[in-house]
Amino acid sequence: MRICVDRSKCSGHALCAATAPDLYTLDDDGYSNVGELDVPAGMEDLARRGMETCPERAITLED
Amino acid sequence: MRSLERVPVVDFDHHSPEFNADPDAAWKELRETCPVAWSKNHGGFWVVSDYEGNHEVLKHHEVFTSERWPEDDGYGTAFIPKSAQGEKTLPLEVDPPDHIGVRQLLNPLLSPNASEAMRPKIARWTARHIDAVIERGECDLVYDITSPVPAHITLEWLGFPLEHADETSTAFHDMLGTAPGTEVFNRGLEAVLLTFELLRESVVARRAEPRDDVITYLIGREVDGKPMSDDDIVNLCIVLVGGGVDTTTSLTSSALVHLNRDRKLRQRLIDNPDLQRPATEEFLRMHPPLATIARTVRQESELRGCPVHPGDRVLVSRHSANYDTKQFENPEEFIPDRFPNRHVSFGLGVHRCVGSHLARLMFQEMLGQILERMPDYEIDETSIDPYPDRGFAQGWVSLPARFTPAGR
Repeated sequence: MRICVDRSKCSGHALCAATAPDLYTLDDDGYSNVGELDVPAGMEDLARRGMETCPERAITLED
Repeated sequence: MRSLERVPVVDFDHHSPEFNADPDAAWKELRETCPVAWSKNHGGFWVVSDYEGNHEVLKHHEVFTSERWPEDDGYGTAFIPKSAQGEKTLPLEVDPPDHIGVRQLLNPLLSPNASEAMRPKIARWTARHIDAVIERGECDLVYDITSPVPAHITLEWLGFPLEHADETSTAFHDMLGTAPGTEVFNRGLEAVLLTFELLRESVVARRAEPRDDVITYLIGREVDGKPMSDDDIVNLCIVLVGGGVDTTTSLTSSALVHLNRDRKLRQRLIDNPDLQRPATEEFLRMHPPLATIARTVRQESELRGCPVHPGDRVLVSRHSANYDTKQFENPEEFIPDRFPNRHVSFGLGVHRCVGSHLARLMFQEMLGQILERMPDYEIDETSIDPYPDRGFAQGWVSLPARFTPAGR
């Protein structure tokens, strides 16, 4: 599974990081600095929950 | 030729007595029958009341701008009707690219980490205000706690003289909570003008003698290659106070009223303090302090199938979006651990509330300490009133309450 964050859509709500801080990291301004990330095995559910919190719909998951 | 007819038309006025008699019912009717509609009131405006409409407007600033038009003649455009003439407010009334510079200045000050670092101060100001009333067994939850606590935290952070913090918090609360023209509103207005004056003095003082505060941080900073003037700094501070203080007050007040009416929920949050964090999102969803926000159409476009034209005003209801059944199952029900909970109370897109992380912490600390130290608080429901006009801001004017007295 792969996380894709459209950083142009990120507005700094930071709810992804509050939900799954090990996957969704932030820059000093509190905006996502993820871009793309391969989800380590066993963390798929966390990745999904983090994606679901984003009010901007900036996060997608690819299998 | 393209028709400039704007349909469907509804007779809707978010400042009318009919609306304010029951805003929830008014939004529900609009959302379920006509989620994008044209009202001829206040010079004409689109009113958008569903969840998808909020996304469409707030995330497309290239079509739905926050900027003022030359035709606006200096009037503020964040509200409908427009607010008084004056300097445009940063960063509220500028879109990218100009918007970016101001946000880059503010973001690191209010990021999740920066807000977290303020937690000890938040806890201290909350405890101090509860200490002041805890032995009495009665207080006004608004004037004694939910209004002064966010004010002291924010004003100390800015570098504002704290001996005037109570006047300032009361002033902003009075202005949001009462109708223009009333005695209380005018008292508030006068005190807000004093706040401007005191901020100006603080900027001058910090230039001479820098301290570790936001005013000092802003002095000498540049926005788009130009150093900020004293006026720029004062205006920005006013936005930070106005945007962050009474909004947090009203969220906390609304939660306290909610828990006065739902004792089972109150007990659940007392027994499971871990639930207070997710419940914060549900309080935000059901009681957004700022119900609406306005934009102006910048270019010919369509809004959910309705043709919109340059210059058209657009009112977006975040409150209504938060009750949209297409996004939230059983929206009338308070579900403390609702997941996901993608409410739009802090807005969406580039203008998302810059203080959201600090606001959450202030709310959680006030709620947590009140539930711990005055768990049996009882609000006198016979003498409380919501803000008389809930077309923009919503909250409670005052909340007299009794509780079992305790030691400091």
